Amino acid sequence: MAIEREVAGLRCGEVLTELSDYLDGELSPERQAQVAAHLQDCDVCERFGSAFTIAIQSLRQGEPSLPGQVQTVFERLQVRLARSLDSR
Amino acid sequence: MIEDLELLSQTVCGDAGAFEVLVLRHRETVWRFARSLTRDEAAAEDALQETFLLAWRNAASFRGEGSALGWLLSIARHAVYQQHRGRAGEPERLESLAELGEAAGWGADPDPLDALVVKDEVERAVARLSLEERELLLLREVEGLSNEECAGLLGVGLPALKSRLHRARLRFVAHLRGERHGH
Repeated sequence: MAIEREVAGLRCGEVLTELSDYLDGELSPERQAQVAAHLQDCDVCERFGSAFTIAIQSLRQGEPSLPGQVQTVFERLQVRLARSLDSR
Repeated sequence: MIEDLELLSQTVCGDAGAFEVLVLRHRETVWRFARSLTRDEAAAEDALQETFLLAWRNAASFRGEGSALGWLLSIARHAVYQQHRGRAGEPERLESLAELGEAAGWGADPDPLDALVVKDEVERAVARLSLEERELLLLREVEGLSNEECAGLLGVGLPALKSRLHRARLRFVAHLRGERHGH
């Protein structure tokens, strides 16, 4: 069910819409401060904002793994490229 | 270390050694991107080979706008989409942001994502995204490209890119919650 509270001059739906821009620091300084004030005083949005941030940070964390039989794949790439590099 | 753009300039002049350095530098990223997009080892390998073969043949077409890695990823993306052409399913219904938010836990009490998110859950949640959502999150969150670079690579304007990114993030969080709840 959609949340319709208004806190710090912003409705929850507006905060939901701007959450990624807020996380990326893409809002104007005034808007950034307004969203921060809403998050501070609205427990529902604060809880969701924290969970959202944790989830997105989990994507960015650590060295990404290299899936599959990567060395074999790279060896075949080198063989294929070697043929092309010689023929250009 | 020689810059990518210098290596590409040398590649245009036929310097195979310079191109090999570029391949060694970026093959892991291109592989990871292709593998995550296709979720298929053989298809990803085809895309990887296609990417570097085309880059070698068409190095002169690089216009110097954006990074060499962005250019390579755009070739890889094109190769993957060529493979998927004609295989697209029904277009997904575009939910409202509120619907997506609720699926992601907006308004839920208590939210189960307060606990630490584990890597396996992240990988399963990413795998459940659509091809378009997956590629955007890979480029932006995993490979660390800027919004502007992603917009250029995907051929969309910045506002559209931001909108897609937000929706993809919400969908990812929704899938992550689904993993926690076992559905």
